[in-house]
Amino acid sequence: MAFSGNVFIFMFLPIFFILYAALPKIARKGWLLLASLFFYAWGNPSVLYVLSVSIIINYTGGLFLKRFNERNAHFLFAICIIFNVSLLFCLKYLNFTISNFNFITGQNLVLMNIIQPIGISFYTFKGISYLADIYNDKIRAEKNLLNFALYMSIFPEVMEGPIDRYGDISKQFSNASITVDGFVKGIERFSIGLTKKVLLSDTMGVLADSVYSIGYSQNGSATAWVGAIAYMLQIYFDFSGYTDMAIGIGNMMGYHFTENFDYPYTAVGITDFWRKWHMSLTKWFRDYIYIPMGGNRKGFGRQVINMFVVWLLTGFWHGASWNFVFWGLWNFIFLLIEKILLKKKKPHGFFKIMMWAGTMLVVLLGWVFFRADNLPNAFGTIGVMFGFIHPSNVGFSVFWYLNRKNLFIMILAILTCIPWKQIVPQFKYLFESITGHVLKAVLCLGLMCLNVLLVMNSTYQSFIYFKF
Amino acid sequence: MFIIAFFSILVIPILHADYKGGAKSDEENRYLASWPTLFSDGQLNFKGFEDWISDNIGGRHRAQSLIKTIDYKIFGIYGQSLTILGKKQWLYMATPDEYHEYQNTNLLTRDEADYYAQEYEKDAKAFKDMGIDFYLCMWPRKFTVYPEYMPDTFIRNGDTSDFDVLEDAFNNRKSLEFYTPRHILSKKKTERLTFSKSKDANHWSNYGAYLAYTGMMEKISEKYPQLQILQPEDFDITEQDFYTTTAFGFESSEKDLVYNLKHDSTHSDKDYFEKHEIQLKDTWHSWNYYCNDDNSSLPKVLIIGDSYVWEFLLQDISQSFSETAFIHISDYPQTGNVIQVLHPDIVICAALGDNIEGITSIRDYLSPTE
Repeated sequence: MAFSGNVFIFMFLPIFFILYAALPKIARKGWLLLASLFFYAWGNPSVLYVLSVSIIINYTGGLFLKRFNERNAHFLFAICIIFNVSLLFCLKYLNFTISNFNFITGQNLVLMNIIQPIGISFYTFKGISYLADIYNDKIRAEKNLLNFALYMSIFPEVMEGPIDRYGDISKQFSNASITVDGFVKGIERFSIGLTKKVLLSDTMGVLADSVYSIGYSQNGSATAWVGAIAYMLQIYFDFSGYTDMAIGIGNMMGYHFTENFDYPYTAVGITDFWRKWHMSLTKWFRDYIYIPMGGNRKGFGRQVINMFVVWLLTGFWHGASWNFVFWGLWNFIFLLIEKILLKKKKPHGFFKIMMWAGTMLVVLLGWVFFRADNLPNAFGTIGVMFGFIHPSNVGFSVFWYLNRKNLFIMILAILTCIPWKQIVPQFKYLFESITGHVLKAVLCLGLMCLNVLLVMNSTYQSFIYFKF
Repeated sequence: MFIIAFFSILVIPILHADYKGGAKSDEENRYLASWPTLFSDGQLNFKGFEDWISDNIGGRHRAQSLIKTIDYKIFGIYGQSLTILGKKQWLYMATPDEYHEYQNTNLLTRDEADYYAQEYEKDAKAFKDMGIDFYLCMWPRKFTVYPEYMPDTFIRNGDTSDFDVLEDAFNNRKSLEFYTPRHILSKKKTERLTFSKSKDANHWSNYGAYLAYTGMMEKISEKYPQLQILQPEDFDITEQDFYTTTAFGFESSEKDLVYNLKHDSTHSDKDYFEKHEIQLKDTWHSWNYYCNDDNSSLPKVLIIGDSYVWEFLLQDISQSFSETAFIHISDYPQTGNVIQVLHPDIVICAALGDNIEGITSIRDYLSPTE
C-alpha cells in the first residue's frame, strides 16, 4: 500500500484515525499494530512471515542477550546479527550473487524465485540497531512483545523508514497521546509530504523515465542533463515526501519520528550532503559499522578502510546491482578527497558557492549511476552529457521533454529545495502569527485538495525507496 | 475545524463512490472496474479492490476533467493519451513505439524490408495455388502525408522513412500485387484535406478515403474489369463543416466531404461468422459480411484489414462484389476458416505499414482450423 495511493488516502487513513481516536489509550497500541500489519501485508500477505520471523528472532535475541555471561552474549549477539544479515542476503542479494558467480565461473546455476519483501532493508537495520544497543548497554531489552513488534512494523516507517532507534521510540509508546496541536502539525506535514510526492516527484519521475527509456545514444546532451536533473529532483521529493508523510502521521498519533532530510541540495561538500540526506541511514552506518570498526581513531589508513567499507555497504544496501555499488564508492571517493584537501576547513564566500556547485555536480552524476539500469548505460549517459559521446538518431528536441508544464514543475521543485524560512526570517514570523496560522491552514487544505485531484488523476505511483 | 475539513477531503470522495462500478467510460474507452470479489485465483483480491477504488472514487471524472483543462489551457498539453497536438490544431495519434516512423529512427534495413516483401510474395503464391488473387494495400499514417504540422519537438532524421523502405521493397516484388494511396493522398492534399485535421486524430478524411478506395479498386480492376468502381455520381456529396471540441477546451474546425451512397445494393450480416462457427476475437467487433442483392455473378472478396477499412471503405467496396467478408487483422489466423466458407476470388490485406509487418505468413493459416 502506498501513501499516495487511493486505498491509503481514502480508506486506510480515515478509518485508522477514526478508530485510533475513538479507542481508549490502552487499546490504541493494539489497533496500531493490527493496522500496521494490515498495511504491510496489503497486496502480498506472505511478506508477513518474513516480518514476523524478524520480529520474533530479534525480540527473543534481545531478551536473552544480557542473561548470559559475556562470552555467550558475544556468541548470541553474533548469531542474531548473522540471522538478520542472512535474512537480508537471501531475500535481496542471493540472485545477484548467483548471477555474478555464474558470470565469473561460467556455471549456469538457476536463479531462485524470490520476491523481495518491501522495506526489508529498513526493518532489518532496525532489528540490528536494537540488538546492538542492548549489547552495548544503551538500552534494556523490551519485554513487551507488542511494543517491540510495533517498533519493527509501525506503518508510517515500515516501508521507507526513517530508521528510528528503539531507545527513541520506546519512551513514546506509553507517552504518546493525541493533541490538537500535534494533530494539526501532523496534517500540515502530511499535506506537504503528499504534495512533494504527487506534484513534484511524480511529474519529475515521468520526465526522467521518458528520457531514460530512450537509449542514451539517442538523447541529445541537453536532454541527458534534463533527465539527470529531473531524476535528482524526483528521488529527493519522493523520499523526503514519504518521510514528511511518515512524520506527519506520527505527529497525528502523538509520536515523534526522527528527521531524515535537512535540505540536502543546499549542502556545501559531500560530507555536508550526507549530514542532510537520509540522515537516519547515515547515522546507522556511523554508529553500527564505522565507529565499531574504529572510526577515525586508529590512524588515517584505517579510517580510509573503514570509510570504504561503509560506503561499499551503503551502495549495496540500496540495491543488488553494480551501479549501486559504484554509486556508493563514488561518494566514498569524494568524501575522501574532501577529508584530505579540506581537513575540516569551512569554505567561505565565492569558494563556498563554487564548492556548493561542485557538490551538486558530484551528487547529480552520482544519481546518474543510481538511476541507470547498469554501469555501461550510466557511463554512456554521462558521456552524452559532457559531449564525449555523440548521439545519433535523436528523435526529440529537449523541449519535447521540457514542455511548459515540466519546466514549471521543475522550477517549483528547485525553489522548494531552498530553506526559505532560514533565508527569509519574515516567513517564519509570518507563519507563527495568528494570521499566519490561518494562512497555513488554508494553504494546507488547498494543497490537500490539489493532492486529491492529482491522486485521482494519477497513473504514476510507486515510491522509489520501496525497492530497498 | 481544520481537522474536520482535512478528513472531509478524504472521506467525501469515498462516500460518493460508485459502489457497483462497471460503468462504461467513453473517455477512457473501457469499462471501469466493478465491485471486486473477495478472492481471485485463490488469493485475496487486493488488485481488484485497488482497481475498483481507482476507477470509481467519487469525483474522479471531475478531477480528471479539471486536470486536463488546466493542462491544456495553461500548459498546452492535449488531454488524450496517445494524441500529439501539432501545429495549427492538428492532431496525430501514435503510440511511443510508433513515433520512430515519423522520426526515421531505428529504420528498417533493406534486408528487413525485403524479408517482409518476400513473405508476402510467398503468401500471394500460396493464395494463387488455391485459385485466389491476393492484393496487399499499405496505408500511410497521417504524419507520412502531413508531416508539416507535426510539432517541432519531434526531430526527423533524414528523408527516408520505414514507409519508403517498405514501399520500395513491396514494389520490387514482381509476383506481389501491391498498392498504396500514399502518393495520391499527398498530391491531392493541396485541393482538400485528405486526412482529418482534428475530428479524427488517426484516420483519413472522407475525401481521402474515397481517393484510397478509388485507387485500390482501379488496381484490382486491372485483372477484374467487370468490377464497377463507384464514381462521384453514385453519391450525394456535400461539403460540411466539422467542429471538434473537447471538455478541456480544445477547439478546431475543418471542412470535409460527406459521401452518401445513392443506392446501396448490399445488405450486411454481422452474424455471418457466428453462423458458420468462426470465432473472431477483435476487440472492436469490426467483422462484417455483405451480400450484393443486385448482382450475384460478381467476384467475392475477403478483406483482412484495420479501422481505415471498416470505418471508411467497407460499404463502398462491397458494392462491387457479390459477397464481401471483412475480418480485422488481429483475426487473420481465421483466414482459412473464412475461405472455406466464403470461397473468395480475391483476398485483400489492407492496413497501416507497421500492422502489415505484423501479419506476414498468412499462408500458414490458409487451412481450416478448429
